[in-house]
Amino acid sequence: MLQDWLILFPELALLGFLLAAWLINRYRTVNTPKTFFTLSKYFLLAAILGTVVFYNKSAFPGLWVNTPYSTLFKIVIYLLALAWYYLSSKWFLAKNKSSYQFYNLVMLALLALELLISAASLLLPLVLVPLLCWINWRLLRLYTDPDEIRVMSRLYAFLSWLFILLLAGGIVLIGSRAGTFDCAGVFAYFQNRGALALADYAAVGMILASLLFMLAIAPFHSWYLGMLTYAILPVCGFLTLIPPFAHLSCLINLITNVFGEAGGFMRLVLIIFAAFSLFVGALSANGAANIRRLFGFSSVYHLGFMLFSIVSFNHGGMLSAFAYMMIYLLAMAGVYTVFLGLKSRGDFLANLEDIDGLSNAKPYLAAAFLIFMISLTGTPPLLGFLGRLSVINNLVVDERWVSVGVLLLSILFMANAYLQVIRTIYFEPVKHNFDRTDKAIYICLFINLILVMISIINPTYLLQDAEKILSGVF
Amino acid sequence: MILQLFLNLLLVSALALLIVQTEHRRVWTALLLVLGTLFAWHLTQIFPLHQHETAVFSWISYPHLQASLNLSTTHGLEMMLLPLGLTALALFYLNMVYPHENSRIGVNVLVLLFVAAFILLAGSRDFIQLLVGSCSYTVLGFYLINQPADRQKFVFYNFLAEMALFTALAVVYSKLGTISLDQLGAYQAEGYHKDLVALLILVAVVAKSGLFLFQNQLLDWQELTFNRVMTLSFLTTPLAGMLLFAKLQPLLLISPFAIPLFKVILVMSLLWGFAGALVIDNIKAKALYLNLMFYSFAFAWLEQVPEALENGIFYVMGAVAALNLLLVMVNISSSNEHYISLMGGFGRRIKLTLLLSILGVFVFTGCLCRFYTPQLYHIFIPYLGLTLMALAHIGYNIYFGSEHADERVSALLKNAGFIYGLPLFAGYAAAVWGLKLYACGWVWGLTGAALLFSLSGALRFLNPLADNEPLQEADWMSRIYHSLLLLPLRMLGRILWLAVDFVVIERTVIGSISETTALLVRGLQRIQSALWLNNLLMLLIGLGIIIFAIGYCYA
Amino acid sequence: MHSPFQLLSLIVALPFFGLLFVLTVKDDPKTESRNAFNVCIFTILANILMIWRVFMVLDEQSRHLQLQEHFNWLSTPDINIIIGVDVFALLLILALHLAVLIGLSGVRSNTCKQKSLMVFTLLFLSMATGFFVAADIFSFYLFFEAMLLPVFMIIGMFGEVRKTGLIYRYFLYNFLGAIILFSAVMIIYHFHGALTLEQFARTELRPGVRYYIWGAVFISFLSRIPIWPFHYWISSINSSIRNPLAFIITAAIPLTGIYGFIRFLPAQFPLPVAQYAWWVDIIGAVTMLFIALIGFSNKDTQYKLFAYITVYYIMYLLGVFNASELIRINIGYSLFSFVLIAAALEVLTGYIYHQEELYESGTRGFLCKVKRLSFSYSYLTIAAIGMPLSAVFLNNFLILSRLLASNIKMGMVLIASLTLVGAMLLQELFRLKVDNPDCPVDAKDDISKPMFWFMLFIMFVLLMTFIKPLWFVIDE
Repeated sequence: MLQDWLILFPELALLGFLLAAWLINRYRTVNTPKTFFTLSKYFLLAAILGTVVFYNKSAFPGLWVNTPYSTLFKIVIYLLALAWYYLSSKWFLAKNKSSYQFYNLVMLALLALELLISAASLLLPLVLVPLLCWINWRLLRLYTDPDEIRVMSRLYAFLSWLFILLLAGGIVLIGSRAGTFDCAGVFAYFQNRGALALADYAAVGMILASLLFMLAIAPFHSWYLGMLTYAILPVCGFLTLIPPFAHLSCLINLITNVFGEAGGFMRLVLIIFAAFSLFVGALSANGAANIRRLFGFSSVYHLGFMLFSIVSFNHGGMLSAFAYMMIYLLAMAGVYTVFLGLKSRGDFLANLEDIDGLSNAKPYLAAAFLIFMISLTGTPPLLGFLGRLSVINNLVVDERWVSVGVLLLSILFMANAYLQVIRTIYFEPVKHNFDRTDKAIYICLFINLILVMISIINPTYLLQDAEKILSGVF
Repeated sequence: MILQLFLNLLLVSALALLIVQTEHRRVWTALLLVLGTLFAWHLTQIFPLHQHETAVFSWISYPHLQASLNLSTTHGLEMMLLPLGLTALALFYLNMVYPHENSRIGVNVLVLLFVAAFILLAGSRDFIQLLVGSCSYTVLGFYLINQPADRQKFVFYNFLAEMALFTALAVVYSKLGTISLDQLGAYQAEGYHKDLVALLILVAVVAKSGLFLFQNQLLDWQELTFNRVMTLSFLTTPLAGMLLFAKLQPLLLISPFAIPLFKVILVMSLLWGFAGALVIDNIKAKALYLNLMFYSFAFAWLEQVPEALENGIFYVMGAVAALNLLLVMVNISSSNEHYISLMGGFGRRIKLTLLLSILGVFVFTGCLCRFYTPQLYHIFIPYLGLTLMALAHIGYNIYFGSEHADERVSALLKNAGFIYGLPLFAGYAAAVWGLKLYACGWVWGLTGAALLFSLSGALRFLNPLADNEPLQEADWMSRIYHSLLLLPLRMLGRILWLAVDFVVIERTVIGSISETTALLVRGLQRIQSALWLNNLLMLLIGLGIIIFAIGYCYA
Repeated sequence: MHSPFQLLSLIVALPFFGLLFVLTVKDDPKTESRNAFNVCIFTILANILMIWRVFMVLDEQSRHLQLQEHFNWLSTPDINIIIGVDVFALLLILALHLAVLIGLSGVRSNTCKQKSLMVFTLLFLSMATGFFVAADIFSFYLFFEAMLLPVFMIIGMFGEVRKTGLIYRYFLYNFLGAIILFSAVMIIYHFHGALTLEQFARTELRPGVRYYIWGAVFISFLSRIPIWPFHYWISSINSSIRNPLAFIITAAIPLTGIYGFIRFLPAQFPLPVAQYAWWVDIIGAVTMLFIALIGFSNKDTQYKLFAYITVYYIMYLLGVFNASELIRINIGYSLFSFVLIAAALEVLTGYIYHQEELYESGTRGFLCKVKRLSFSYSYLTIAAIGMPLSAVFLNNFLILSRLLASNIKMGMVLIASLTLVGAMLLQELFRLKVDNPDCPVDAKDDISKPMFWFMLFIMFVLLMTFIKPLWFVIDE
């Protein structure tokens, strides 16, 4: 019994934060925006510790199971969360707003995500996905003008409900057909079943649709772009960096431990969605005037890119997708860190034309931005090249030539979008005065760049352990 | 010996360039002249001893090509260098004393370097040294010609010649696999593209020498000072052309049309020179036309007698150079008067110059008679006859005939001075004595006939042509080149730029790609702008894909 | 041959370290540009010394890549980075360094964003050096693409190109070429493993993919060379650039395409592909004539310079296709001098046009009163047209003889093109030298004495290469 409670330490730590934060918010009068970050930091560290210690222990194996695989993903999202929470506190400090709601919501989201990663029963997503949707909805409304976001808020609510219903429908359908909601049981059902029935496909389709919605894969990406347009910067960063990684883990889990190939259905759907994401993301990024939307489309693009690798349904594909995701996250974390440095007269800049001539005013910030963008295009010798190399290599090994061609062509369109940004910050004359950038931003950028440098010089350290863990997946 | 000479020439040139900015330039120049004279005298003592020495230096050593620098002393080279050296010395002296020259040291440095280039070219035994020697003339000529328009033409024509030579030798090398000039004979048996090679060599020689079709570069030198005209005429590219012809004649023989075509060019050159010498009014132009006649003769002689370079041509060249010098003296005497039509009756006032002129014609005739052989009558006789006629007509217009000089010229008219006359007389005396011209009756006869012809003024009916401006100023060949070559090339370039690059590539190919992309981007932007509709559309698409996939897999 | 001191890594990394030093230079408005400039110059000079040292260690006669260094990079896929060098590659590296040095002499008075310019220049130099020492297909590709970014930044920030659309196109077309090469490299790796370049030249490719691989190799390298139809955007960019250093760096890009062919092409073309290779000969020859004609009729000096560079690059390209192994080193010697000549001409042209902007007058007759500039410009022009003042003369003789032997018609088109570009350069020279009483230029507008001495040094180097191409190598 005690052991079970100990195994639940990470979850309890995250829940504990919620309680502690409430208490502090309620009873402590002098709270700064940093207070809740500091609090979250300790609980997060505790969660990390607990996750590492109990990496293969499970308190409720019927609901969720901790494995080295899930631990890997959890550690990554915890670390990302730690970094982003720290940087978000700078935003709240700059705006002099309370960060209580934000940290509350994101820690709750983190809890939901980490449970989702370890889900061993389909019932868990049934509970967690609506929770996550609700959290997203609340995050959208955080410190935004209610009139401005009314439409978006309602739209998101509508879409969320639709996909929650789809998810619920799918889970119930498959549960009834398989006779169980347990992932292993469902997996056995699909393995033993020869030809799938229409209901089986429908169930898989509904579940997959909702997961793709959560991942913001085109054409289900609009809510994500809308969030980026209206939400505050800490929320944008959170939505870009943390949930996709968790949902990716979920998707891999679905493929490997629940549905398998589902008679080729998964592969077909994922391929089409991946191609759609690729081109919608790349082409739309070219027309974006808002840099957050631009990088939002870029995220859609990169997720599509990575999906192409997952579709191999083999060890190589998973490893390359993981590598790509890691590298993408490093670069995007850097990009969002730069966003925190783009301030003029107290406002955080979001339009492309607002950052004209950034290199003249803030050369180091611009340089870091440049490095991250070039990394995102996959240009050597930066880290992004490693990601591109992994994915393309995997496709070549599988001799999927058309996919290779599609991916390589899409890179050109995406590169053009980044070139627009580079042109803006380097080739245009400066038009605004930029506010002084917090040293912490520079420190974070520096650390990020060091990681990038080390990774490109010795990539093995980044991938070796992951390779061992992921090889166990298949 | 040759090696020593070559190195000394380079060393002295380098030293001279160092002193060019210092004071007392005339003193230094005179010192250089003394050194040069001493050295030339030293050579005249050494050469008759025929001390042959080998000086071959390995230069390029690739696995597939070995080139060497050959500065060996041979009998042939000595025989050429002796008269050439004397001519160079005379030009050196002229550059020093000519009153209208502003850069004496610079020009004389170039004289030394031209002699060095001659050694390089004449001593060449392989293609590389030949090409280097030939190109050296172009580079040096670039610095000698100080009028931009003339320089431009000179460089263009010579560049064309170098390219033709370069191409021809590249073709030969590609077949023979050797760059040795001694192996050229083998090309007749083994070679390919023989007509092309012969034509290219022909173009190279003709363009380099300034013969017919390319004579413009030569004739434009009339814009320069007289000393530079003479230096260019007797030390530079025409000489290089002769050497190239001598060395590469085997390559002309491989094609049946090359030599006949060349002969036609030579005839045209002779006639063109003759016509110009008679009709063109400018005294420097007349000198150049006379030189053109000489070169046509020299090439014809060389074509018949390959050893002519070593045995005669340079002596005759010296005599022709002396004729040029006489015209220089007239020019100086008449206070730099350029137009023959504004002279006339000078014989009474500048008697010494007149006497020297007659002596000059005598020596010139004598030189030709000295080297005449009956087999070459078809070359010597036309040239001698036409040149004597031209000289007679020029002499008439200058010394005899009506006086047309203006008052200033008439008032200042006097003999050019001992600094010109004395060395010239000494040269003539040496030639007469050395070649025993006094003993040849033909020389006396022909000189007398020329003098009588001159006195008679038989060709004075051509004098009114001096007032014909189109005839005097027209540059027919340039106009032809411009209309037939340059203009079409420019138009073609313009059309290609506009039609192919701009319309086909920019507007059509690139334009369509970028328009299509922009269309897609705009389309997506439009779709993603209206919130509800956009989301519904995307939703339907997404669900549609899934339904399609279900249907596809189930089917 | 293996080097105990990892010399090659050092010459690749040194410009990068210099870049880091430049970044740390003090941001004082008065001294920043000077300090950044000095650090850059010092870095390049130090690297030139290192290159000189490598020359002395190298075996000139050997045709294999020497001083090889191996680095284990990735385990999945299994990729090692291998670098090595031969005389040919080292000559190009040295030429590039000297060309950049010449370019820097043209921008020394630039004070706007000098630090950024130095940073990207050093980055380009580092990537380009890495490209030339790459000995396996992966590292080759890596540097092939990596050098695009600094070029793009330099053109965009300093090229003074008015139409920014041109810059994008330039980058994207080169990027496309790099992407295509990437696909070929991945396919080669899949079927044949991580080959070194020497192994690739000897490998019989799988029948199913060899057409694609060779096609990709051709397209990717040709996209760097201004050969039809790729010439258009390259010409648009090059003729628009006004900054001499930017022009020089951009003009070095086709060199990478030619070098790519040198390394990738086997001694004999594989039979299935050989039948298509002659298409490149035809297109190359036609492009040469085409560009030469346009350059001849175009009045823009920058375009003339571009035309000259293009014609020569295509000549070298055709030389690579048709020449034997023996001739390749001659191509290297010629390229060395050619790069220096082009760089020096560009700097002087840039200087002339800078003065033109100051006086707001034409450049006709500009060289009349400026003796140092006149001498330098004349010498370089005469050397550029192939006169025996540099290694271009003799080595072009060998290359052209080989080309004439393989195809006389193509050879004659080549000669016609070379003659046209020579005439074009001479035309420009004489236009600058013509007497123009209205020209406001004075002797004080001449190039400075240090600049003149530097140009004299370059002329000396060129002349020495004519006498002996590797004159600076002292045998140990």
